[in-house]
Amino acid sequence: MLQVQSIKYKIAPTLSLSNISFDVMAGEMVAILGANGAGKSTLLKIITGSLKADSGNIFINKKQLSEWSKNELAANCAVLLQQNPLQLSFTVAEVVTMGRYPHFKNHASLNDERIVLEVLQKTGIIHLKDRNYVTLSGGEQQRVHIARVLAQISDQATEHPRYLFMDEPSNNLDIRHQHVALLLAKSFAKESNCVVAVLHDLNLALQYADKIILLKDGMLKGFGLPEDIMTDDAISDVYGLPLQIFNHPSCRHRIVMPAMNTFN
Amino acid sequence: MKSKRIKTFTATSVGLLFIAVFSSIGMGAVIITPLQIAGIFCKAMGVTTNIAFTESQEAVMMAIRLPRVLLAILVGAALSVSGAAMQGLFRNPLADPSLIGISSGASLAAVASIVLGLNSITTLTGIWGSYTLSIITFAGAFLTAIVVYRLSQSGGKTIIATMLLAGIAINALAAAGTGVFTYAANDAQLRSITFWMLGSLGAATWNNVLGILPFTLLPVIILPTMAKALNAFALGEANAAHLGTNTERVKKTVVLLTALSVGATVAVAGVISFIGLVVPHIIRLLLGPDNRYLLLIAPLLGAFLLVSADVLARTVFIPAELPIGIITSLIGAPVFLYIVIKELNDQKNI
Repeated sequence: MLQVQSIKYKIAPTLSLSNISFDVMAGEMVAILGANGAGKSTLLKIITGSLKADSGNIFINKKQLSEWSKNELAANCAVLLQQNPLQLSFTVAEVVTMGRYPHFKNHASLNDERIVLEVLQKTGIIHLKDRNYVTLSGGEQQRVHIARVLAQISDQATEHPRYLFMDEPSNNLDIRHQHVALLLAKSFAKESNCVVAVLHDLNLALQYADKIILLKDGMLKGFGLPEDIMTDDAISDVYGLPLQIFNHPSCRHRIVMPAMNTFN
Repeated sequence: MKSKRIKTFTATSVGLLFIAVFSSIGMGAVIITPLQIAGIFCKAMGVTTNIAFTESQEAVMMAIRLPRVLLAILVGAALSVSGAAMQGLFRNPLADPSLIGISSGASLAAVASIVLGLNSITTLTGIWGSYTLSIITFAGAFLTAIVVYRLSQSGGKTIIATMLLAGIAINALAAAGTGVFTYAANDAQLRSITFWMLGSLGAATWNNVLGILPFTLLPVIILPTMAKALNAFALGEANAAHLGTNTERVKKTVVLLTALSVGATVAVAGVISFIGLVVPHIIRLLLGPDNRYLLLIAPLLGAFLLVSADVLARTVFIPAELPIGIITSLIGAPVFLYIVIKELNDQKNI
C-alpha cells in the first residue's frame, strides 16, 4: 500500500503542491489527471523519491520512503519517466535487461533472461530484440522503456505489493499500443500490485483507472472513484474547456468529448 | 555467441599487446631479439639461461626500453579506461579527457608550477618528485573535469554542444596560459614546456614508472566495478537512480579517478590526445557499448595502441624521435570526425 499524507512542495513562487493526501491499495491502478503545469509530474517525482517534499509523509508498504535503501526501492518500484535520453547504441534486449539491474550483481541470471524475453513478448517488441535502440522510432523507443520498467518489477509474487509509476506512458504510441501499455499496467495492478500513472488522455483514464487524483494548480481537486470524481463540471473546470461525459454505446466504460461547436 | 566474440577479442588484444611489447623492446639503434629479451628478463629475475646477449643490450633494455614500454602500457591503459568511463558519465562517445580540456587543465598546472617554481621538482628528485608533479597535475585535471561536467549538464541531460564548446574554451585558455608562462620561462623550462604540449614517453625512467603506478592502476582496477552503474547512467541520471544506482557516488568516483589518471599521465608524458576516444570507440564498434566489457578490455587495447604508437614514434625518423602525441592525434582526429558524422546521421534517423 502507498500512503501519501499532506504533501507540501513549492514548485515556483506562485505554484505549490499543497495538502495532497491519498492512498493506493494493492490491486489498484490510480490515474493522476490535471491540466499542463498543474503539478502532476512533480507529484510523481515526490512519491518516487526524486524530489523531497517540503513537508508531509510517504509510506510504501508501511515504511517511510526515506528509510528504503536505493537498491531495495529499485527492486520493488519501477518508474517510467517522460525523458529517457539514451544516445549510446545499446540493443533493445540490453536496454530491457537494465530493468533487471537491481536484481543481479554483474551478470543476468537465467531467471532475469527469462523475464526479459517475457516482457519483450508482452510489449510486442520481441522482433526488435537485437536492434540498435538509437535507430528505433519514438513509439518503439517508448515501448522499450515500458518493457524495461515491467521487467524491473516482474518477479515471483512477494507478500508485499510492488509498484509501477508512469509519467505519460502513452507518449508517442499509436492508439493500439496505448491500450497495450495500459492493459499491461492494469494486469500488473490486478496481481495485487499498485500502479500510479500520470495520464493526459481522459478516455484512457476513464477506461482503466480504479481511482482518480484530480489536480488543479497544485491543489487536490478530488480523489476517489472515477464515477464520483469525473463529472462534467469537475473536469470542465480543471481543464478550462467545456467537456461532457457519455456512456459508451456498446461497452461498459464512459467516454469524454469536448462539448462545443467549431467553425463550420 | 556474443560471449565468444568477447573472449576472442580479449585474447587478440592480449596477443597484440605482447607482440607490441617485444617489438618495442627489440627495435631501435640496438636490436634485441625476442629470445634475448626473454634471456635478459630471466637474468633480471635471477634465473640463469644460456641465451647469449651483450652487456650493452642488457643495459639498453633494463635502463631505457623496459621502463619506456611499461610507461606506455600504464599511460595507454589508464587513459583508455578513463576515456571509456568519462563517456559513460557524460552519456556520449565524444567525451575524451583531452577533447573536453581535462588534459589541458593538467598540463597548464604542470607548466605553471614549473615556471613559477611552485613545486620542488628541482630539489625533490626521484619518486617524490614524480608524486609531487602528479598531485599538481591531478589538481588541474580535477578542477577542469568538475567545471566541464557542471557546464554540460542541464536537467539530467548532457548538452553535447556545451561539453565540446567548454572543452574548446578550456583548451584555448590553457594554451593562452601556457603562452604567458612561455614568455616568463628560461631555456630549460621552455624545453620542458614543449614536452608537455606535445606529449612524449621520452622521459621514461623507473622512477617515473613507479611514480605513476598507483595513480594509473587504481582507475584500471576500480572503474570496471562501476560498469553496471555507468550502463544505467546511459538512460539519464534520474533513470539510473530509479534502477538503484547511487548516482552521486558514481559521478564523484569517475571524475576523481579520471582526474587522477589524466593528472598522473600528463605529469610524466604530457598531453597524449585521442587515445581515450579511439580505444573505447573501436571496442564499441566491435562489441557494443556495454561497459561491463568495455571497461575491462579498454586498458588492454589502450596499452597495445600506445606501445605501438611509441614504436612508430621512435622508428619512423631514426635517429630523431616524433612526439607520440602527434601520432595519436594523427590517428585520433579522423576517428573523432567519423564519430561526429555518425552521430549526426543517427540523430537524423530518429
